[in-house]
Amino acid sequence: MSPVPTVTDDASADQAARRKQTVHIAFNGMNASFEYGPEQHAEHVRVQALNHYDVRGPERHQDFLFGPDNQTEIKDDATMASQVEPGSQLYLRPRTAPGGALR
Amino acid sequence: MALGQEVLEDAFGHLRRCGCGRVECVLYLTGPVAAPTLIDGLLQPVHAAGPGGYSVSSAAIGEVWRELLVREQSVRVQVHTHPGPAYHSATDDSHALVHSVGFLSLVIPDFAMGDVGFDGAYLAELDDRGRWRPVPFEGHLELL
Repeated sequence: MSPVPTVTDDASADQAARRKQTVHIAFNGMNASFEYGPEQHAEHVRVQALNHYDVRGPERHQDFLFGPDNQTEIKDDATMASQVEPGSQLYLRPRTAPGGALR
Repeated sequence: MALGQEVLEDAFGHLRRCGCGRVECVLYLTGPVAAPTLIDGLLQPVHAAGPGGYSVSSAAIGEVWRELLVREQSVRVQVHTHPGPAYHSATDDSHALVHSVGFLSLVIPDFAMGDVGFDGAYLAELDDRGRWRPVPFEGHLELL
């Protein structure tokens, strides 16, 4: 039998839920909202977005999160709280896109 | 994916004017987010190019992403030219603009200086394992 939840458990869960924040992440003209915990690393949110937008294959990790100015890269290994304001518009995109016959 | 003749003519016009038959060129065919099989426009990013390649900077991709969001459009096909025969190079494989399943990459031979159309062109699609594979135009990219 599972233990009966205590008032403390409920309060902790409620507090955690309240601490969830949201950002919008645009990818190729589409835009969706993603929840995150402030202390989660940005990589967690980036991977959520890659999965949501069905970005596949070995090259998918060439898509990075960029901030509201669409130029400042969000660092994977730093927390969301240290880099992003809740409710911000972010962008998931590659850093560069070269190609051609001799490249 | 369905493409209007006028969009294809517009694309060839951009590729020829920009590349002048001497350097490669790149542009993106776009369609409404709400209509995933339709192509009704194009976007040409600011890019650097030479006879054997091109590059789109982070700032330029940022502009494209912002423009797409405002217009509620998605890039459906990445298009670029080659000096000679059309094929997908290793860099074309690894550095496409979009790596979503079903995304198309179209390579036009001879700096797009030939007839408007798909003669000699190469079409590749990103499969569900994230790998590029050549696909026929029929059933993948057809003129309306």
